[in-house]
Amino acid sequence: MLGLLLASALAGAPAAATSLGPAPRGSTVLTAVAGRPFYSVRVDHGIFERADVGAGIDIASAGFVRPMAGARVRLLSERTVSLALRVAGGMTIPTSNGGYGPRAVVRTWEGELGLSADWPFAPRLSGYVEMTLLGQTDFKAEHSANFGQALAGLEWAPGGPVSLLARGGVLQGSRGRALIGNAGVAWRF
Amino acid sequence: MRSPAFALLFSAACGSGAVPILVYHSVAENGDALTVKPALLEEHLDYLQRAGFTTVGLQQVIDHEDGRGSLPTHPIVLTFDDGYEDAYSVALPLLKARGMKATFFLISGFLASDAQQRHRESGNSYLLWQEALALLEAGMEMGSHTVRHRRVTELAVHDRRFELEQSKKDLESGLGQPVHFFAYPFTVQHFRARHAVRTAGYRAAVAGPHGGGDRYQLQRTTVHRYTTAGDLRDLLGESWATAFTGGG
Repeated sequence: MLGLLLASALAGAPAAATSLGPAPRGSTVLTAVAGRPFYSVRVDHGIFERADVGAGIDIASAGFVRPMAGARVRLLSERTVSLALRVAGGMTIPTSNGGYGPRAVVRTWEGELGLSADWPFAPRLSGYVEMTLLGQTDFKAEHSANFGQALAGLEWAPGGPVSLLARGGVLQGSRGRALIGNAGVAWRF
Repeated sequence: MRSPAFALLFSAACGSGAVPILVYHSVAENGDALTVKPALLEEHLDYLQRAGFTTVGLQQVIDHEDGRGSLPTHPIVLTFDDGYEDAYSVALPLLKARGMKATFFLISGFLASDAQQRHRESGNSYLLWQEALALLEAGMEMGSHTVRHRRVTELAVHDRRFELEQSKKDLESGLGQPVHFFAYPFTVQHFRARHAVRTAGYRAAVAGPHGGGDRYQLQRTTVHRYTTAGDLRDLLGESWATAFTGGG
């Protein structure tokens, strides 16, 4: 039965790069990725042809979870390349002292503002880049910081509603930088 | 209640220091809100040691920033402002007993040569030169806190220059070694003050909780009479991204 379902799903039309940009109106995308710094699950739903809203949770082995909600808006679609703006907000909630040494991870409000471009450069393959500003605060100067993030990724849509994602990049802050990256699956329904 | 949108703007305006820097003032049984009881300082030092922090001087931090030398895994800078007499009589023994170091910011015009001339003001006693030298010999780091503890943001240009340059000169002469670091009295500073500090020849300067951004406004966390060891743990906490990009 499962095999039939999977075969049926994979027999569908190849996915466009909708897991990377806003989901089209009425469609919903469930995305799950694993990597660093987070393992993430999120759901996005297209409310307009060019905009979706979404919510999800990031889970870090370093001892915190980060529920986030946000929206993506496709600013322009020029031939095969499209440009989208992403805003998201949420909160980091520590779950343990974590793995970052004696300085506990504190609860902070989080905000992200990203500009991304995606383009399908092969029938089943799309590329993706995003530049993001991240801000954090708990309204104390000690715990307020801003960061920049650059990501590039690929989405492979073998057919049907499922596609595979892989992303990598760098998170840059005042203390230095760290490599980030994740891979996972997106399911449109 | 400020909104998350404000939080974003606020956070965009703030930096986040690489190495946490604490600022203490007097260490005594009685005093104002910035006077920490000796037993509380002991608790703080024990907590820092237990938690795995290693005290370093500002010189080490700035050298590391300049690509010279390294830092231990979990560094922290302890600073003591104003040069009270209890820096020598109370704080120093507690630090020495734990093999810790700290940076003391001295008001050069308040340093006296003998006990009879010891500077006293508003119920506080200040260090003698020989006590400052004893701190130095014990491995502590010295910095300038102006000549008369005046707000550098409120001074005319030539007065500001005098406070910065004369205190540096006096301290270097009295201590017999260069003074590279400065602490803004009352932690207040602005662009012109930072520029003046740089021009006076300091390598870096420490501000207060609203510092951050560059080495002439290094952020410090103020410790006061009611800061428990638990509070200190919370104050020293950091955002996940700061920890993550700091190399874990």
